[in-house]
This record gives sequence, C-alpha cells and structure tokens, in this order.
Amino acid sequence: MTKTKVMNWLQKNTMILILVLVVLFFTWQTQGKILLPQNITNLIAQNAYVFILATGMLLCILTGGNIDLSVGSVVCFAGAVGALLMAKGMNMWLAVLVMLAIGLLVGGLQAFCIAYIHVPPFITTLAGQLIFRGLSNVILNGRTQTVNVQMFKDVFGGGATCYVPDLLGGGEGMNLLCLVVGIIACVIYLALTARTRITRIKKGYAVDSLVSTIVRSVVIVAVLMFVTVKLSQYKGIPSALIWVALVVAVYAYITSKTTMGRYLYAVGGNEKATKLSGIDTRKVYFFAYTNMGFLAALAGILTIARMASAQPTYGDSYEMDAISSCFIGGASAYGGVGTVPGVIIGAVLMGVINLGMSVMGIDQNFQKVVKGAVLLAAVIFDVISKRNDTK
Amino acid sequence: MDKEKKSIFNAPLNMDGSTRVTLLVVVGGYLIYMAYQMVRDTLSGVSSMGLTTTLILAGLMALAGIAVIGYGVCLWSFSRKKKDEQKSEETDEE
Repeated sequence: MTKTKVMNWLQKNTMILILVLVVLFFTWQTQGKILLPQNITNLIAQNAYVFILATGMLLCILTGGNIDLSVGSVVCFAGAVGALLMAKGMNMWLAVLVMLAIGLLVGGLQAFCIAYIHVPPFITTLAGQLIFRGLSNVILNGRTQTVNVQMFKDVFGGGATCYVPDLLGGGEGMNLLCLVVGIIACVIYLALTARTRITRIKKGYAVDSLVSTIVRSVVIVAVLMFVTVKLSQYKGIPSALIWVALVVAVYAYITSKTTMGRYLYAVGGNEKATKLSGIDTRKVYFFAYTNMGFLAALAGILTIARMASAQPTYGDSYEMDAISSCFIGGASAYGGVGTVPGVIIGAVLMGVINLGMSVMGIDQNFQKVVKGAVLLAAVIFDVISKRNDTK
Repeated sequence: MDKEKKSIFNAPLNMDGSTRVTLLVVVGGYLIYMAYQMVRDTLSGVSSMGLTTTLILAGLMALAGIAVIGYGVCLWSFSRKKKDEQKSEETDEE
C-alpha cells in the first residue's frame, strides 16, 4: 500500500522532480553558475514571453486540441506598431493600449472566423501567421526600430533598471522589498493550500495524504524562498516577473474557479454534450482566441521592452515554445494537459535547459538536439503513461 | 466479450484525444523544422558543428519527427475506426 502511495505521488509530481533533477544537473555542470542571481533573473526575463504565451495557448488547447500558430507574428506586429508609435512621440501608455487593442482585434478577427464561420483553427491561425509576419515587414520596411522610452523599458522589463525599486531601504546586496514580497507569497500559498484542503475535506472530496501535501508545500516554499533570496541579492524583482505573475494568477483563477474556465474544459471534453447542455460553444472559442491575441500583444510589449527595439524577425518560433511548454507541462500526470501550473513548469524546464546550455557554452545545434530530445522524451512518456492507463 | 489486444494505438483517447493528436503532429513538425534549422545553421556558418555530425543528428531528429507525426495520424485513424464501429453497433441495436 505504501509503495503504491509513493508511486502515485511520484507519478503526480513527475514534472517537478524532473525540473529539480535538471537544475541539479546544470548546477553540477556549470559549477553553480546557473544559480547565480543574475542568471536566475535572466531566466525570468528571457522566458517571460513563453510563460505568457503558454498560458494563452493552454486555453486554446483546452477547447479540444486547437492551437494558435499566429502568436509569434502577432507578437512581432504588435511590437512593431508600438515601437513606431513611440518613436513618433506617442505617449507610452497610449501606445501600450494601442498594442493591446491590436492584439484584441487580431485575436477577435481570428476568433470570429473560427467560432462563427467555422474555418479550422489550424488554417485560420496559419493564415494569420503569414499575414501578420508580412505586415510586420511592411510597416518596419525590413529595418529595426529602436525603443528609446526609458520608462517603457523600466515598466515592462528591459534594460539595466527594469527592477522594482527597494522601497524598504535594504542595504547593498540585499533588496528588502523583494524578500518581503517573497515571504508574503509563501504565506499566501500556504494559506491557500490549507484552505483548499480543509474545504475539500468538509465537502467530502478525496484529498492527498497530509504528508504528501506537506512535502509538496515545503518543496514549493523552499524553491520560492531560494529564488526570492537570489533575486534580492541581485537587483530585486524584475518588472517582467510582475507581469508574468499577474497573468499566471489571473488565468489560474479563470481556468479553475470561473464558469468560463469550466466551459473551456467542457468544450474540450465533449463539444456535442456541451452544446446540448445549452452552452454556446461559439462564445467559448471566441473567448479563447481573442484572449490569445491579447496575451500575444502583451508578450510583444515585453519583447520590445527587453530588446529595446522592434525587428521583423521577432516572434520567430514563439508559438512552438508555447506549444512545447504546454506539451511538456502536461505530459505527466500532474493535472493532465489542462493546468496553468503544469504549463508554467514546462516553460521553466525549457528555460532552465536553454539557460544551462548557454552558460555551458554548448553549440547552438547541440542545443537544438537537446531540445528535440526533451520533446521526444515527453512524447514517449505520454505514450507509455497512456498505454499503462489501458491496463 | 473478447479482451481487446492492448497496444499503443488502442489507448483510449477520451477527453484529451484530439488534443493529443494535434499536439503530436505539431511536435513532430517542430522536430523536423529544428532538423532543417540545424543544417541551415551549419551551412551558413552560424554553428561550428561539423557537417557530417549535423547531417546525422538532423537526420535522426527528422526521422523522430516523422515517427511522432505517423503515430499521431495512426492514433487518429484508430479512434475514427472505433467511433465508426460504435456507431454501426448502435444502429444495429436500434
């Protein structure tokens, strides 16, 4: 019985364990360099767009295996428009609103084609990928447009000063605000975990064993505090992290606690039954794809802020990074294909592997081989776990 | 009722069936695309990997991508076959 419990626990937390092993491996190979505060900050800043796009892609995938191939192009297009507007002197916040509006419009147009005209999502978004990549080239005229608005870069995560200032006045080498925020985050997490467990027990639902819950909570709190301390030893909370945390929190709530979240799962599970239940499935598809456009625009804002420029090549393969994160994060039994935490863990795993290989100075082609091997391993794991489910 | 022979193609697709097939096809396509990128980068001098090594690794990656796509397509056709069989059984019962 104990052996089964351990096996069940391992199966449920496979991705977290793999992530820990990968981090330990790269820590050993890089002599601890990967855990330097600057590298952890880079991990967050360089992968912020993946976290945001993967979260949006999850909602599309939940509707029944549908993906959005246009996100990379929308990132590029929205970023290009924003950079050009700011270069012409437009107020930064107005430019941000325009970029988000573009994302909503693009997402809405594609969503309308998918939901109401019933063009297959693959075709619609493939067309979107080509159209908006082309438009990006047209409006940028094949050139790079620099972004010189310092406040924009600071707020959205670009440059050397894109960190939340230490309002609590910590000393050199220790950002006090960052530490306090980290501690508060840990307390909130523990409180939510305890409350969820108590509520589930009261309602008579099955819960994991207390030991399993405590172990998982301790591991997560330890990781959170480790990252917090590392960030506070560098320059504090990077602004990109705030946007990522906001998106993850909002969408984790939407997918787990709202009616629309339940509808997304319902449509993906059985569209006919959902329709017969009286739910307008077209609105669900419309929401998923419009939302994806919005998040792609947000990712575009973060991209041009980090790079301090807009180029026609930005966003290349971003959709594949997002889809890979969704697949890797969902390939284990940790919540299946449909949870925001699973997707974030998938994105972090890919980010750690990319960063680790860069720190080790591994050739780009070898990095692609490793990336491909990780994806293949996720596929094989998925095949084996599905085969075991039939036994 | 005869016990169905278990294989990697008989796994019930259930809730995430079409999700899995689409993702498998996309992942397979991405593996093939990465193989192409590897060869392109070596030929253009961006990567310092030798051409022979690149061709071998890219070839293996492309084969893996084709295998993943093939598995996804087989999974989809098996599930379609099953659905058609179930439909015809229901029609017979009526």
